Amino acid sequence: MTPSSVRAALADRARRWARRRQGADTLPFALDRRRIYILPTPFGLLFALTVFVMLLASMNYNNSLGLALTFLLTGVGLVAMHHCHRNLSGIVISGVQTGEAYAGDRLALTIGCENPTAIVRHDLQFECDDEESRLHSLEARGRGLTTLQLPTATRGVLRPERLLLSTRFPFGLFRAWSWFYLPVEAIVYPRPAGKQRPPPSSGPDHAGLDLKQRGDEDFRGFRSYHPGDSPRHIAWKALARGAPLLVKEHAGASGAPIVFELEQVEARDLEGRLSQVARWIVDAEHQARTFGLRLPAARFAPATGALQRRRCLTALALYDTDRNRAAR
Amino acid sequence: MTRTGIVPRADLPSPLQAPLPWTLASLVLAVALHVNHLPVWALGSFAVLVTWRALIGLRRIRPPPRLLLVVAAMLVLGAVLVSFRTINGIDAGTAMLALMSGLKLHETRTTRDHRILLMIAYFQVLASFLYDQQFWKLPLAAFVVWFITASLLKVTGEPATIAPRAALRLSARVLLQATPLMLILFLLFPRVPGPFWSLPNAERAVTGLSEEMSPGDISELTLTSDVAFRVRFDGRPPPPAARYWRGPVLHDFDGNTWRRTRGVFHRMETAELSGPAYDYSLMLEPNERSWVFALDLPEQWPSHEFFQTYDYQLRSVAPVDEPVTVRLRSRSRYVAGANLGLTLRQSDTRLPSDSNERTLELAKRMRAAAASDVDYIGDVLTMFREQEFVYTLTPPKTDYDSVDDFLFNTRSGFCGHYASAFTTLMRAAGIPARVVTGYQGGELNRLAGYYIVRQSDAHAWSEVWLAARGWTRVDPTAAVAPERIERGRMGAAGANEPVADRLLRQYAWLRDVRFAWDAANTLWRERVIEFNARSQQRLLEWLGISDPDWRALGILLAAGIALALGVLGVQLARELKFHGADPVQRSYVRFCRQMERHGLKRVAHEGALDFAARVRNVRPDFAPACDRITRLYLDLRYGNSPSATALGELVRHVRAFRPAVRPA
Repeated sequence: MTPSSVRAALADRARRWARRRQGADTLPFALDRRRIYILPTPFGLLFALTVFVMLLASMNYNNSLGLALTFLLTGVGLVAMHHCHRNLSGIVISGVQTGEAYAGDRLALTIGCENPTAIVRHDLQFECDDEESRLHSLEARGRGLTTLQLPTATRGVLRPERLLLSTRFPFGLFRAWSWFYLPVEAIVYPRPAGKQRPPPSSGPDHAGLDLKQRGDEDFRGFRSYHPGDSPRHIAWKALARGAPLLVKEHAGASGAPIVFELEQVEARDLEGRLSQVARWIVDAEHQARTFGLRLPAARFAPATGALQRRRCLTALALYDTDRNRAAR
Repeated sequence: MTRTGIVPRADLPSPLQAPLPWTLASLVLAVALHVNHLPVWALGSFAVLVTWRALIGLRRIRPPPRLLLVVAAMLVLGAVLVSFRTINGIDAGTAMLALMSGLKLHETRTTRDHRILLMIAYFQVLASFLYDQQFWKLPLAAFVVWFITASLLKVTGEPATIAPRAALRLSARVLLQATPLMLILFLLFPRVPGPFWSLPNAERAVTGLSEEMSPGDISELTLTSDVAFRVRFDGRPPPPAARYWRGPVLHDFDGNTWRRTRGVFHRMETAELSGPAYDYSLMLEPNERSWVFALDLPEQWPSHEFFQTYDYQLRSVAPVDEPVTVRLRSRSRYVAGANLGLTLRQSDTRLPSDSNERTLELAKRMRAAAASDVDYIGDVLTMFREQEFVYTLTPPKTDYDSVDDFLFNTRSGFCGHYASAFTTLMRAAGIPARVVTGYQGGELNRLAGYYIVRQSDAHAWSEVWLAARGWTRVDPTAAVAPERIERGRMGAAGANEPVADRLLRQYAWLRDVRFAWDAANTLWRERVIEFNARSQQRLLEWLGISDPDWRALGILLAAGIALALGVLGVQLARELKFHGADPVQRSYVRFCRQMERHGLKRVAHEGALDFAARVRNVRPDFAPACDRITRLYLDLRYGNSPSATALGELVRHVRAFRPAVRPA
């Protein structure tokens, strides 16, 4: 066993122990003394060694001022430990939000924290697995947001578990940290891939027409904005003139709904088929088409917009996963 | 460096950005504490290395190639070896550390590098204490430690983490919070008397007496006002004429220079002391030798650390390279060496036969004319007193046959001349005699009640052996210049003679300032520098712990630290809480109270806007101020991004709003 693997194993064990001790967290929660842990850093050990050598030198020469300096630095070490611990104490984790990600991309995990106390906090480091992000300072009564870019490998549910907040402030002699366990689940969509052409739309009028030539030409008119509409279709010029938020509607968008199915894909493996359907969905939304999805366990009636895409992609992401099966 | 020149920004690995200036300044400050004992070449090289590094950052010139740094490191090692003949010990170590840290600055990139340099800077502060622990050094060292600590804060994390001013403030706070812990550890941490292993000590150029005396030697000392030692008498001090502080006794004379006898062991002679006993603490400054200047003659001393030589000089077992305080008892009346050993009689009557011939002749003539040894001594002193002998601090140079030259030619001299001539005259007449060097007199620090004996009080006198009386002190200088003995050197020296600190002595208030400073230094020395296992024992006894042992010390130490950390914890936790209501609310409440005085009480369910509307209706004259305050309050309380000055404005408007109460 290498030292690093021993360390990792120990850290893992400690984390599980803390998990049992603390239980799951519900937002928002404050970091209190019970859940802040602290240990010296390698530099802290070097500092201790330096102080020890200084002690020997001072004692060897019976040097009182040398001893005073040695003891002052010892005091600095002990005081720094208190400051380091306090730098986390009382911070409130107020919220967590996950972004969207396709498998292989980075998933943005945004953590919001608050400092309801009267002192400024410095050098807060959020970590999740090997990713980290830092808040240089958090003012008194201030709020902070920080985003971790988590790596994703496969589609499905991502549960960022090993979340922790740590600090080495003020001198880097100690590292105080707090683990937390948030009920966060992020959906990682299948990676859009594949070159197969989409199936024909079900509407009779547009059968066989190239998707790419459609849509923009058949401008049909405006309708009012609904949440979930793609920003690409918002009538920005009209808005600039002072009109209310309007969305441009195209003939192609509503006219010829396509319903995607896994069986339409010729690929052999499931992941390949999911990726191809994901590609179609992304393209369809991009082109403002009306599309739907039919899966063995779920059915999404044709619709347009980002919301529809998200809904469909989520269904693909969860297709045949543990969670999906459990839900059934 | 041929490759220096302006290079593009991107090529530069380490411009002068935070935290480099911090580390650099920390090192410079730490090395500056050594400025008076590092050799000039080392200081110069360090300055070059630091300046160069700063210029690389400021002027954006190319950093030195690695090879050059390696070569420079070898050069430094070589230079230290040549200069100190070792790399061990404090002097060589300090120079080495300074130069290597200067070089390391040139390849400092990571946080780790910075931290290592800052640890070295702390170490340099410690090393500077090994040279001296003077009182005035404390504020300097405290400042340097503060700066290094702030730098440690700055190199941790990124520059954005904490602003420079905040870093300085926080490190000052941490140091202040660490001070109680420091005091507890200082007082209670078990003191183990060192050294555990022998390392060469710091070399100090110490002025003071030496093991030999040529006629002109002591007059050089009179120019230095360095303190040789301080004395605090328990009771009445001896009269000025009895204040002879005994140093090295010189036996061998070559016609010009007196020396101590080396490699000869004489029998320890008896000494019977009588008269009043003087108990005193002798606070020795380091003299790099093992000499203890006891009041003539010492009777009691701590026998495991000090011993007496056959010629009654008190010496320390270990060299006096740190301030030492010794408890002594002396008596001024004594019969010493009543039975003189044959070898000592021989060595103390020996004279070179080929020099100072006229002196030998004079001695024979005068001794023949005198009835006894005692009469002869009286005749010689009378000669000094009545013939034209002059006491001066700037005597003319004498020939090789210094005594002849002095007695028959120059006739002006200093205590060394008189002691040398007198002793020669005695020996020439067959009387055992020797030169004793030491100090005479001392200045009372009347603010603190102890005597200060300075190098300028250095003195030389003679001792002659008389049957039945033993070794007897004869001070020929007293015959020529009695005021030297009674009033100190200033009393004897002419108006234009060089005397240390003449100016300082002329004004009473200046002298008092100097005494106060000396008293502070002495207190510092007694209470802090010389704090040791014994002081610790006394402290514990004072605290009421009888028969204190290590365990008591340990328990007390642990309890003290726990208490200090507990207090710190409470204090730090208290800082988290906001004190009082928040300022926005406080201002608004104050405004509402003002309105109440005018009969407009804001009811509990009434929002700020509703209240403002009511005010506008009832008292239109209040409306402008009220609206302004309400707007600011709402903005601060519920607005998206209140401006930075809004709070100040609110406070100002509320303060200004003081309408006079209308008579009803």
